[in-house]
Amino acid sequence: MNNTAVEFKNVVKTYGKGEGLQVAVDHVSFTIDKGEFVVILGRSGAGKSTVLNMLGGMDVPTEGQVIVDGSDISSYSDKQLSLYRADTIGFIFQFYNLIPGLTAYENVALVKDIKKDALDPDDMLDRVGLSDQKRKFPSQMSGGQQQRVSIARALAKNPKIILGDEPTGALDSETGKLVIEMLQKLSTDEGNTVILVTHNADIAKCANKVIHMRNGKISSVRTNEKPLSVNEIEW
Amino acid sequence: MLNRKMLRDIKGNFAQFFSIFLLSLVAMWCYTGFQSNVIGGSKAREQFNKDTNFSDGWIYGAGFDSQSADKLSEIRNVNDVQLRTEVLGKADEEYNTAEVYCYFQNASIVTKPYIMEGDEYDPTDTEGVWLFYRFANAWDLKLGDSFTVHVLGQDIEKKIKGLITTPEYEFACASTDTDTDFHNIGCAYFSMNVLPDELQLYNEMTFTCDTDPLKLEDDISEALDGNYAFLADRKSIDGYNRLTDELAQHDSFSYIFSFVFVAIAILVITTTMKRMVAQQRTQIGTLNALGMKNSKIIRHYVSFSLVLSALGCVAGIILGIFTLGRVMVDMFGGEFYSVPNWSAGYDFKSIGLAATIILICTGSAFLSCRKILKIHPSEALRPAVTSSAKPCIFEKLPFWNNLSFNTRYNLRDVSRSKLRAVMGVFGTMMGMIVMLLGLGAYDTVDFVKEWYFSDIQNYSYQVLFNDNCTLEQAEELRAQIDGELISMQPISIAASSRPTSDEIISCKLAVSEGKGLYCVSDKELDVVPIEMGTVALTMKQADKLGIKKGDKVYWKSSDGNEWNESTVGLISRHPSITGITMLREDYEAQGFEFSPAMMVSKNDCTSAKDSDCVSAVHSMNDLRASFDKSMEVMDLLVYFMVLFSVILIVVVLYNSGNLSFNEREKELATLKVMGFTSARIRRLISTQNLWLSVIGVICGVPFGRVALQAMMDSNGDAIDWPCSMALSSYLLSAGFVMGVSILVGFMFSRRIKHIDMVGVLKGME
Repeated sequence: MNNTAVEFKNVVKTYGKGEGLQVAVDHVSFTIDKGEFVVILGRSGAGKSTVLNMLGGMDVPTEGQVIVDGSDISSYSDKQLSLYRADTIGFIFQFYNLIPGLTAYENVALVKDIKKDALDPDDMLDRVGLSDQKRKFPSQMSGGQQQRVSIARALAKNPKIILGDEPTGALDSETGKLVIEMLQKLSTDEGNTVILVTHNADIAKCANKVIHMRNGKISSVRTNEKPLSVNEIEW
Repeated sequence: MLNRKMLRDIKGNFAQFFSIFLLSLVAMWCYTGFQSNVIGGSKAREQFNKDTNFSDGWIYGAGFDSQSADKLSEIRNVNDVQLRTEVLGKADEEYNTAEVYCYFQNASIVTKPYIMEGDEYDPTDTEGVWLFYRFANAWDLKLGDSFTVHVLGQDIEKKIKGLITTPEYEFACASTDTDTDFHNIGCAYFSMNVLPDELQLYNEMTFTCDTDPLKLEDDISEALDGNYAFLADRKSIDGYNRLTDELAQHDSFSYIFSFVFVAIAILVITTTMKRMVAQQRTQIGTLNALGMKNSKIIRHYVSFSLVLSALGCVAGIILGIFTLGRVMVDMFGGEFYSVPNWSAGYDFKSIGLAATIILICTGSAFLSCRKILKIHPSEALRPAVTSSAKPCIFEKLPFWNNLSFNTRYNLRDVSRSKLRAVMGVFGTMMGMIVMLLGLGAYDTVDFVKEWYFSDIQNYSYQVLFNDNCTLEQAEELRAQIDGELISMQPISIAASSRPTSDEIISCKLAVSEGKGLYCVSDKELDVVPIEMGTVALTMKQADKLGIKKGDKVYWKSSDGNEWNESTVGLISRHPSITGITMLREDYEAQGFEFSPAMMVSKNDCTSAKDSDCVSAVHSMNDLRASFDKSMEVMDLLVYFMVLFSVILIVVVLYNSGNLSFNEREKELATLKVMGFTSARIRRLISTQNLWLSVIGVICGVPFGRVALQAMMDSNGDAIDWPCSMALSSYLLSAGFVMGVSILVGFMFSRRIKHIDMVGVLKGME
């Protein structure tokens, strides 16, 4: 049985033309196994978010293949990509991106409009510890609470892969740790593949695999035999 | 540098800023277009009145002489006095025995004929006639041709020495027509000496004065020892007053239309500027932090509206003068009314209004921006706090939780962006009203045509008698063909037997034989018979005199001195000025001799053309065709209405959708990332636009009808057109508005498809 969740094969992403051509991702290849907790590390402009965006079906490679669960999503049409995002991917954003006009419950329940077999929003909010905040609007919640709603929303889709773009970037260290702990558990306890993009090297200590990027290329891929728990790391 | 920023910002928000330009343009276009006609017409009339020394007052009576004129001229504030004899004559048969009002004078002091072609009017010249130029043109009569008129039992044949017009004939319509047909109406000026000595009796004195002529009534009565029938002012002269009403109507239109577009422009400016300054919050903070004064920043932001509304106003003025204005002047000045030298006019009011529009637009921009400029720079440099949300009123609905995501999302969005929602509803409502006005005008014309040509005129042929026709001849013809004889004459009516001049209305008396061919309709527009012993009085005249069913109405013919009393048995409605309709039996019972002007019949009357006493035979098809031709103006009106409606609806709905899209771009990107398809997001945006359109359409329905009735009522007392709107017009207008709304939704398809999920989600602003 194939245990590979994600495979990047010689992926290139460029923007612009001629003299203005910018190479964001330059012949990148790597694999991620199912159930792995992966952190993509790198400085600003290293190309890590571009990799995440291509993996999330928000952007398409200029060259190469992005294979998810055996399918090459780089050749998908817009409609197929929408379906892919709806079925396979759970997104967690740096700035939460909740819909301000919907309550916490409704933001999670929104997933039911996208995916028929979505999980129960109440259960999801219980899992992130927000069962008493369901009727609140995002503006009435703290940043940490909003990010937990965002995680509940991602989980409600029961996605194969959870992607996080700097999910702790707008949070204080304590709340950030809480979020990482939650994501780590999703990987270890629930078997979800979790891929985070961050510039915070400390978070990488909790990951099974760490992919370092520099100038659009992979500089190293390291496997942690014994990932640390969140409480063991300094932030 | 800020000017460059302004240009780039305008480029970046092109749709909204172009709307401001467009709305200012249309507002000024409407205003200048209508005003070109009003100003041009008013100036031409002023000069026309001056050139002809147009009368301020008319005194009707019998047997006036030079002594009467002297007494009148001695009254304080009375300037010039003119004696004249005015009699309705008939043109020769070759001219359809058209109605020709003949004026016999021995001087030309007041209301002097204005010469369009030929010699000056000479009241001592007994060989010539000065003929109304419109009538002459209609019949291709030239200077030097002979023209015969039958009047006062005389056949007067004279050589045409001049083609003329006077302010009394700015509007002219024969008593048998519903609208102007210059083949059937004319006027002619002669020397008094043309008449035999025994007929040289003046029945009218006209005069100019420095005050309201009706205020001179006591002095006039005293000077003339009460020996006159009544005194009238310009308002009582239908040929003059009709144009006064028309110009007043256009004057109102110019302000109403521009108000609508300016109101929408204010909403667009307010929403656009609020969004833009909110979007540029950190830029404003940066400029402030760099040391730029608030006043300079404010000047920068208000300059958007200032520049665009100014450009729009200038373009609107130019377009108004050269398109709508020219078309209206050609139509009204060239076809319907007879005022020499009527051309498109302009005055400083257009510049004044343009300045007001610019001021309003700039003021709206200022009010929209000043709040954000009050924030301290350090605060402005930080991203704005996420807009707070709270439960909306719709959440109290018992079925709230059963509503779809799309519905709940949009209901909350409407609650959060009330001004945008108001703009959407108000704009579509106005678009719907304008559209209904255009289509309703069409329907009303059709309705009036059916009402007038089928219900009131329940006949197939109209036989017009010539001036020599005797009652016996008319009755003989009626016996042959079977029809109904009708007489028509101008009369004056009042609510009391001793009215003062301002209590008298000029109108017509129609006498019918009650055979159901020439009918009257009641207030509900149903055809009803006139009760024996009573008369029918038209509604507008009854309202003006305060007369109700059962009251007495007093009337007298133009050459009579006695007020006759009749009981009003019916308040009737008629599309054009009528006044009283009564039965022949009652008319003759009051001692009058019935003198039919026409016979109407359901049978084919074409053979009657050969009769000596007949001047013309018209089939109902001819009459309808003539009516249709006169209503061609309506096409133009409808085209403009539809054009304005399209501009209004597209601008408003596109702006509403655009603002909604921009405000929610980040949310929409999130939804897209989550797996919403582009089509689904488009539906999400379109839903709200559709709701606003539906509300606008529903609100527009009653207001559209009210506006149409107001438009019809503004035609003055001489016209009573009940407004009618077919269901198809409502459906067409609503369908059109909804269609535009759906199309606007599709206009966002491309933007939704290319929404930058990555870029939008990365940034806070």
